Amino acid sequence: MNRILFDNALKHSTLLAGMDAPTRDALVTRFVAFQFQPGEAIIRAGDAGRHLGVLIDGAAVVQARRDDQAFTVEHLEPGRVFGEIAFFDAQSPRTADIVGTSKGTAALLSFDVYAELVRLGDPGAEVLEKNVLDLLGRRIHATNEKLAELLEATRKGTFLDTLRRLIGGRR
Amino acid sequence: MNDMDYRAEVLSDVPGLTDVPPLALEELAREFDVRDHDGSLICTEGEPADVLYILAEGECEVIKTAPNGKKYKVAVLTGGCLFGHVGVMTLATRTASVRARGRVRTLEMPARRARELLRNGDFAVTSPFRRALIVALARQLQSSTATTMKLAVDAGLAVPATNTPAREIDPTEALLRAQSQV
Repeated sequence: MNRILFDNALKHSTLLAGMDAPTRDALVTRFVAFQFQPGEAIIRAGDAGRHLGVLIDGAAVVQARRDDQAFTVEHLEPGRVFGEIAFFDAQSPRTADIVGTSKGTAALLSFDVYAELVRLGDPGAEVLEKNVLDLLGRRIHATNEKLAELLEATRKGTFLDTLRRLIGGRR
Repeated sequence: MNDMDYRAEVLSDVPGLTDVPPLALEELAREFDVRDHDGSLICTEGEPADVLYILAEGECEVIKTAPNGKKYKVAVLTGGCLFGHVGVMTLATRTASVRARGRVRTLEMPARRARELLRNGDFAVTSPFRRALIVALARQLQSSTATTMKLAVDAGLAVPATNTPAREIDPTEALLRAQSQV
């Protein structure tokens, strides 16, 4: 993907929604385009780097480890924001890998750039924070609905089928 | 230590606020009231989520009711823990009750004031406040995802799949724990 297409996709992402054009255009230039291949890690558990990411194109999965085996816990599609915890919480190490499942591109913003925007009182930092907070609020709401559905399924005796459907697991 | 210093010191231990300049912390500290509890319910499952809490001193139990009516103790909260934040974001009712384990001190802010602050407050104050909320929400999501993954692995449904057949497990307590965001 060339830089023009990359910038255009990033400008229309939910992470940058609601910014005035000059603020948004200036912020887009601070993102790094990371091209990845199938099986390549975009972010690794334990990485010290603090980056906030948006999947621009392609597909990726979140993988967590248990008993030395990696399990896919989430499928990411274009537009999905990732890496919020380690980005905003200096004391929280990355606990999962984000791995490409196709060729693709991710937009990465380093914490140093964000910190500089905060120091300068740049409106981009404020909108970025608001958008991440809104996205997380929506994801919490969706997660709560899934958990409530699973709990209800335990009462009805349909837990396994419900869990299988919600995680897209094997039959 | 005066009351303002106390509140600012409590805030400085909240995840997401640990690297915030002292002046911004003091400004944010002005928005919180200090309240003491002694073994009492701090908030109740099913009631409006109208207050945001930070646990300053002591420990609290999180109690959640299962669909069959049985109550489970699903978590213990310790100092620096921010709770009640989901109500600030979603206008929801409490998803669990929180009871003080003996003497407990909290910092409290009405959820309505928190939303107003996030909308119209000075950036130097709202930026760290938003960061603390982001961290609390993101950790909660991470924990819920981990719980779901563990259940899927235990049930033999997770990717990568094994050759063993799917098996029955009792997920109630784990699900209640994941859902208890008060």
